[in-house]
Amino acid sequence: MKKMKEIHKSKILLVDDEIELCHMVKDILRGDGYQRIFTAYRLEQARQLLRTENPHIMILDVMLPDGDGFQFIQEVRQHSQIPVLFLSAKDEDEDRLLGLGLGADDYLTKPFLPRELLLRLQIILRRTYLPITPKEQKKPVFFLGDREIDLNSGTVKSGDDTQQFTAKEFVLLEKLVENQGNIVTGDALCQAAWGDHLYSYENTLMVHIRRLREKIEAEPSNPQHLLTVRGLGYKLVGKKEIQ
Amino acid sequence: MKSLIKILSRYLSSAVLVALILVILNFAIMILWMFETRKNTIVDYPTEQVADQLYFENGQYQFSELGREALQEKYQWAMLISNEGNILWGQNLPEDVPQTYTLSDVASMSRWYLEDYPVNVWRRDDGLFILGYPKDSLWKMHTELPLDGINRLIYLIPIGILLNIIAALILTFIFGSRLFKSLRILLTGVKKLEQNQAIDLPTNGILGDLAENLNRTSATLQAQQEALQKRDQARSTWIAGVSHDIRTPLSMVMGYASQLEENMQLPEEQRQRAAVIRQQSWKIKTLISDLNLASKLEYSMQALHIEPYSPTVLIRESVTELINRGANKQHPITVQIHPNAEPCVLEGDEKLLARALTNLLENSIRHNPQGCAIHIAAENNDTHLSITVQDNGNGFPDAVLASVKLPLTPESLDTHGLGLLIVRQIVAAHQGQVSFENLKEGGSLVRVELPFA
Repeated sequence: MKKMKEIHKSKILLVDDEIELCHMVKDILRGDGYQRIFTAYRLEQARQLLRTENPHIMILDVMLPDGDGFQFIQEVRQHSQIPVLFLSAKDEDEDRLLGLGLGADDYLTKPFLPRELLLRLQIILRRTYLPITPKEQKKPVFFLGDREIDLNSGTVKSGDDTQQFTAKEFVLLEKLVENQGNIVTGDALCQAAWGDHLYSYENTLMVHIRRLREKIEAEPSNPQHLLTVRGLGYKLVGKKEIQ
Repeated sequence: MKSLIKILSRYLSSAVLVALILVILNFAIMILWMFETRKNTIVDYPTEQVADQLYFENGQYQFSELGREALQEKYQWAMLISNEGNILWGQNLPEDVPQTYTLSDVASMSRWYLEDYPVNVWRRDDGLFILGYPKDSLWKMHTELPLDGINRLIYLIPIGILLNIIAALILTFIFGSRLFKSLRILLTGVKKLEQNQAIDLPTNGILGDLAENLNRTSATLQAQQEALQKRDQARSTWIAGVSHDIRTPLSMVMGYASQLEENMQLPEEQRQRAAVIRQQSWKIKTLISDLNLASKLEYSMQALHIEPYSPTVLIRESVTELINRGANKQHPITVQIHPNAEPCVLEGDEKLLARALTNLLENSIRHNPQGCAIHIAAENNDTHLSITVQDNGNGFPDAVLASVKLPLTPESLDTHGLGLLIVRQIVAAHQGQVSFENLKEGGSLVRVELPFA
């Protein structure tokens, strides 16, 4: 696989028999800055363009006049690892699973939001062609109120005092940070920390949350960041990134 | 099998009843007939009366007019025998009647016949009066029974009747067994028909014709069902096709509307309108996928992915997902799960059930734009898990409440509000119950009951 400096230089092959839709998708892609877009209305044309243009990614419809996309991806996969994003009006779970199972990188159903198409496209291109920098592997370091939390070392700093999270506390905190601003159910937290049901771990979970609060909250009995959502779970709010 | 036993007992009891009635009827007719015959013979010229017609006057026996008449009408001849055995008087005496009688002659004739003439005998002071019938006109039988035998008759009659009943039972059972064999075959056939299975009954036996009719009925029903299935399938495929075909044009509407919405060169007002087009297109998308799902559930074309799941986890996850998607201060959602519900594990299609729950929550939110509090509770009721979704908003409109009370039929697809219809279909697909009501204090209450397997 070749590397690319810029995602917008990617060559995109769009395969769809609806001419109007192709126009629109082209418009959307151009509007986002992509320049090299090839369209095929039939699989025959797509085969030819794959050979001659060597595109970086293919946006593929499922129902085409001279065959179906599911068969086509199998055919293509025999000699190429080109990323494929299905864009189909077939919205059944079975179709999506079939498409993804056949080696597609994503499956988007029509009707779709243009922004969603662009984001998904970008993710695939970046993942495939831009090498991941070590910087991105770093875990977040952030402030909760006046406490600085570093998930790389698993520590929390309050003034001069530095405390270490225990393994379970760390797993819970990481899960909450991943979903910060959103509720995480007690079930999901127990699943993450103990791989088991909330039913058997409810009290254990409460104990760990209390200890976690003692480390990250200024006032553990009146939490400002790790909030309880009664009957559901917990929520982490007020996370501030370090500039 | 129960109904067959019922038929059998009815059949046997009616047969016994018929036998019993016949016995009683026969008995009654016999008694009546005997009584009638006896009355006839007695009323006309009884022997003692005729004997009285003979009197001794002026040294001669005189026979009255009535006596002569009796001989004419009923008897043929008469005579009086002295105690010594000589004929003292005679009227119309046949030639072959002897002139003198020994004691044994008298004893014989008083019971039986005199020279083949049936006779009645009456004792008078002066001798024995004998009335003769024509030959071969009367059958005389002398009955003789021991007295204790007659007494025993009182017990023997009921025993006899009982024996008759038993005999009738056994006979009807033997004659009926073949009928019951055929009946049992028919019965299993009818049961299968009820369960919509194809049947092919053997057509020999007493009820062969009936079996053949049932076989034909089954064939007709099967054909009808197949046709119905085909039609349902066609309908569902058609809806799936239409919703598929709408997607591509809708993509373009949404795509271009989005582009216009984000085009900074356009005036704000225009971009707002484009946003409305995009939002409404999204609603159409949701509607057609709802319609598609409803039609598939209706015609049982939605494959259920049945797996064990924890309903309480499902509730928390569905609610959390909804809140996380767009926390809404106007619609606070509270969850209260009874501890006895926590360990429950049910079998079902988790994705569809989550959809049902989300539909109920979204329904409350959508129909109470002014805001309302939503409360979800779950409890284990021994036989089923009960989930309630309650709000303190406007409640269901009357029309909606009426339509959700109707049974689930293909016509329910006409009802407004696909969301609630899908809830009902999903719950029904899990053999559960769902009820909708408006609360007196305002707001609505939906109760979903999912049975434990």
